Amino acid sequence: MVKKAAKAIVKRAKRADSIVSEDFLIDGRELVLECPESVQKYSLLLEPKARSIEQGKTLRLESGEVQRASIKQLRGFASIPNTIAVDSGGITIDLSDLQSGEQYIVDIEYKINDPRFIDSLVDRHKLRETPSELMNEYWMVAQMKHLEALKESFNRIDIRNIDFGVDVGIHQDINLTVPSEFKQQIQSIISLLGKSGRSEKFRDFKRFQYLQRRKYGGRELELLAELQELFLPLSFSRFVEVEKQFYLHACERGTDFYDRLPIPTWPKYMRVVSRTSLNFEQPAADGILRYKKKDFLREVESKFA
Amino acid sequence: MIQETAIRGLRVFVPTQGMQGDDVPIYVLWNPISIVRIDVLIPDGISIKETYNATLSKASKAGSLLSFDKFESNGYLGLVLGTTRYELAREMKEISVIVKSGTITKVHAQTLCLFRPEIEVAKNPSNIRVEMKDGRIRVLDKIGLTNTGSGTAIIGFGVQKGSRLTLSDSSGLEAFISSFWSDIETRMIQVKKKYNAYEEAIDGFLSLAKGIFKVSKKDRNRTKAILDELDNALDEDEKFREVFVSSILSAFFKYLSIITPMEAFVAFLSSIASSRILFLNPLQVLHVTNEERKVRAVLEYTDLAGNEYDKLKVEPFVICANTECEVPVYQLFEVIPHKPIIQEACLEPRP
Repeated sequence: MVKKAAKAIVKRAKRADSIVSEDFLIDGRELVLECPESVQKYSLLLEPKARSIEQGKTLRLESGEVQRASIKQLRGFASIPNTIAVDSGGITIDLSDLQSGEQYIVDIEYKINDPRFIDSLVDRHKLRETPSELMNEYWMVAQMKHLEALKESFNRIDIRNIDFGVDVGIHQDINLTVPSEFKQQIQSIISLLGKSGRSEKFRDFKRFQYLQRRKYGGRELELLAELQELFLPLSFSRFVEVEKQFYLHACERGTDFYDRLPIPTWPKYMRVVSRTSLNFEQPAADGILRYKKKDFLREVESKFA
Repeated sequence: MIQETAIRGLRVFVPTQGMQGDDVPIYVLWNPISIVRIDVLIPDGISIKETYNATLSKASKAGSLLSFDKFESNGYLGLVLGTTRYELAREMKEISVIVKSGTITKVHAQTLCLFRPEIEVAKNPSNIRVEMKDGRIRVLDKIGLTNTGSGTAIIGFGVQKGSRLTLSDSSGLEAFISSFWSDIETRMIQVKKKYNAYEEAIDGFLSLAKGIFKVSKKDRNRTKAILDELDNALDEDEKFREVFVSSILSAFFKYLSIITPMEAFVAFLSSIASSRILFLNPLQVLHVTNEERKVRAVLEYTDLAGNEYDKLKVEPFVICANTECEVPVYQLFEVIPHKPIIQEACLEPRP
């Protein structure tokens, strides 16, 4: 069963064809979907029919909310100014300056407003977590759902930069690597700053004094800031790599939905966003996201060396 | 004449691991100049949820073998397999994809490890003593939990009616948590206006954040649906992702002055148990005095795929402290690592 989005694309293409074919020969149709930008770029390769070229004649294409549109001559890719006008309902092409026998590329860009649009064209799956701490590879797979329906309407389709967010768990790694002595020092400072009576304050102060003479004494904030740096997108990207038909796009702090305690400065997960593209030649793709855990642990350890 | 020994452009993907209850994708690509027949051996306990570029009703079926020879567009077959929760925490399934073209046959046999967590109460003391000394809380005789399976267990700790103690928010972080979430709620009104398609997902997220989330059967499916929807929304729309995450960060930094960076760090570390066990409410506290109080605890869990598990059996225990204090939930538990007798191949990295 062809779902809504594929149907909408095919329907729009067919409607455009029936209008355009009155004045043009349609030599090709292409569709590019830019997933992150939610933009649909529809390209037509057209050749005007000799009888259609006359002064003041226009072609109206009611095609919904168009972001931009352009027309170029295929030979030399020269733009033809003032030939195409965009308004809220679609585009109008002025046929006056076109020449018969020439081919033209008409590019029309639409905003994709339906947030489920890409999902109804592409099935996305990923390994949510790995089965053990020893394994740090997550697979990701994208599969095109309605290849044939789209092939019938287009010569080429590119679904570009499909996002895959994988939440890489890092909390256990930090918890195991941060020395217990450092945790105690931090705790002693919190107790000292907290609400307590005079005798408790004195006791906390004695403990604080004792711990301040130990290894990390006086460097607590500096060490915390250094640890924080590991969660910066650029820093963390050193600890992941993406292989096969996917590529690494970005690392972000993860959103831990199960955690009621809002400490986003100390994420339990890093969300690693990888991307892939599908087309008629590659209707399915798989990728591997590898978390370089040993390198990450080494880096955390080095802060406390 | 040179006889071909390969099917041109053949690429087969079958994953090696998957979570029980999650869907598992399989695909086969080949050069469309080749005419192929694809046999897929699907083991018991696995269903076919979707077929792409072929119709399931047109495939021939013999026992657990499905044969495809008609493709809407030659060169591609996509499948999505449905899994469920199995009795074993690590269930091995053999999946074979056999591609035949003329006289050439290529067999792709793969063992798929389907895993899930399995939590056992390894230690259940009848008396729990709490010692408060030098401002530090020490809990003697903790409840021991072991994850004998794979994957993360999300554990909810509750106290049954009839217990003489109740759970409450920690007084130290209470101001920060309530200010933070009330600010997030206000910010999300604007986000919902701008991205009204995600309104339900955002409302769901806020309800989870208010601590309404439970691991009981009744709430679990709804929770999973909300999280999956939000997860998809964050993948689908880069702009929404930016706005959503920056709203959370802005609220956090606005109220950061309430807690010090050090408190935040300690709270973060405290909420993490080892061996892939996460507590839903690690920083909620039991208000304990030097009078003995009986606690009838409830322990429920789920996993990241939203599977259903029986409640964990915990015998009632008596708790008391040398002085009145607040004991965070996480301190009542210790995680006892599981040491399997035989190392299972599924848990080892690829060579």
